[in-house]
Amino acid sequence: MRLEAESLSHSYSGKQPLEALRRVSLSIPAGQFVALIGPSGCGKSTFLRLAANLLPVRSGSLLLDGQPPRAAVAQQRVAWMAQSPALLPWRTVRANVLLAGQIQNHGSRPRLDAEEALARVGLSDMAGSYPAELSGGMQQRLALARTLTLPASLWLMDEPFAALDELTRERLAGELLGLWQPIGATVLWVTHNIHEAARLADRALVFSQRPGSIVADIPIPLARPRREADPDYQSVVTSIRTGLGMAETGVSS
Amino acid sequence: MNGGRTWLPVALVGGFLAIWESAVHLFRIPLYLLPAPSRVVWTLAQNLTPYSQATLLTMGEALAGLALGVLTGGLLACLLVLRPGAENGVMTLAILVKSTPLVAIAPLLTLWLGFGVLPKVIITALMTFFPVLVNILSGLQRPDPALVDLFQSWNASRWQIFTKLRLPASLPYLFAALKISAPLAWIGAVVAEWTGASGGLGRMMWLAYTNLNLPYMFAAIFILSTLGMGFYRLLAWLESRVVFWQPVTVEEERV
Ligand SMILES: Nc1ncnc2c1ncn2[C@@H]1O[C@H](COP(=O)(O)OP(=O)(O)OP(=O)(O)O)[C@@H](O)[C@H]1O
Ligand SMILES: [Mg+2]
Repeated sequence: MRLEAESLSHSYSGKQPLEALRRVSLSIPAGQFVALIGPSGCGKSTFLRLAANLLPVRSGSLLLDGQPPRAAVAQQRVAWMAQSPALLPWRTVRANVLLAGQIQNHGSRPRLDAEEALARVGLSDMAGSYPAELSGGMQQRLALARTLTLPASLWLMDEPFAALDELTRERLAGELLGLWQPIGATVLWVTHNIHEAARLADRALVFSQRPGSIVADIPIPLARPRREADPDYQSVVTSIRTGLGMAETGVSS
Repeated sequence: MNGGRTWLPVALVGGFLAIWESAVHLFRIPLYLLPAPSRVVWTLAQNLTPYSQATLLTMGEALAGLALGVLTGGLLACLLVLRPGAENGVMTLAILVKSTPLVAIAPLLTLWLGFGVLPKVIITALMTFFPVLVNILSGLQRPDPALVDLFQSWNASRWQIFTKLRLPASLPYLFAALKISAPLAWIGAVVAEWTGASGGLGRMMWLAYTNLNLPYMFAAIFILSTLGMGFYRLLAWLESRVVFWQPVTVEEERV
């Protein structure tokens, strides 16, 4: 799914209106894996929420395959994974994964069936437990498994690996790329981890501090799997780091 | 079961009864003012049949009224969540019912509907309805916002969000409501019986009161408090089974 934003801004209304995004323009072709990286509070989650139709687009435009987010969500073409695990405490691990399919009525054609999704994230042996019995990282993996069952062509992933240790992160990154490559879904992947962005994405977008706008757009034209020793990989890491430095100091490229 | 926690309440109640018993004997308190607990229990044992019949009747009224109150309060809360426009009007009406002293209505209902079971059930239902409405409504209205977002990202319908999210999320609030309403149900049934009835514990208490037969009256009070506590315990046990995911019980809405 193609994603196009044209001077997209968003302000939260409250006692004091708060400008979270300012004039974001970008174009993401179908099938691209894009990492969004930027300082905390810069509007990354806000951007994903706009694309998931959880916030209304009031200023500028945001189109998914030429349609407003509402239409794409109604066609079940968008999968959103929240920054918090958002699990139902009264459902078992397995029932939590199955829930998405029950709501969207996937019937016999989920992208990935529940058992398979749980196996991919390494939670098969916990299928009968309840979320309260899981650690923070396990809860996040459960939320990831649930997202992977959705038959969507746009994945909006809000820091899906934030609560994971480095080894689990690497293993899951491999699983995820294996799932993603044949599907060719468009991915927006929010992360604070430069190496995660460099290892996974085709492109990294660096956001400035709030109000967020794009300060650096870094292509990552490297074949997968990527090796940290590769000098090209190192130069990608350096560019992202430089971009983040500009984001911190507020200098725009 | 934690041993310390089981025997402490028993010891407290036992101690209280012992002090009461010895005070009555020590100060030679006359029977028409305060009977000793032993005398009360003895009276109870002597009149087991009439007391059990009265208890069954009152319990039936209380439970039927509670069921009716929970059902109407719960259904109304569901309706208000599914069609939010009506909330203001209905809540005004509900607060009006709640603000009217039901003790004042009880004799009227007896006058209109007779000495039978029906006016007791209605009074009990009126007393229990409001806490149920308020608690379940607030439970239905505030599931975790992150979960609501999740359902919306799946394009869930209002009805799906209601059945799969709001209803289960409101269960802890249902138990909070029941724990307030159950004692009110006993009060409702007994007070209604005081205003005129052909049977029941309230009726027995009223007869005993007019004859200044205090042991008789205290026997009924003993039954009421024991049953009330047993019922509360039963609810707490049920709660821990049904709402197993809730580590602590939710704070009930103040009504
Ligand atoms: N519901 C809301 N109401 C008001 N302000 C909000 C709301 N959600 C976010 N904000 C504000 O908007 C700004 C951007 O928030 P957002 O969650 O998009 O940041 P983020 O880039 O995802 O940060 P993080 O990396 O910490 O998750 C923040 O300053 C935040 O305070
Ligand atoms: Mg965020």
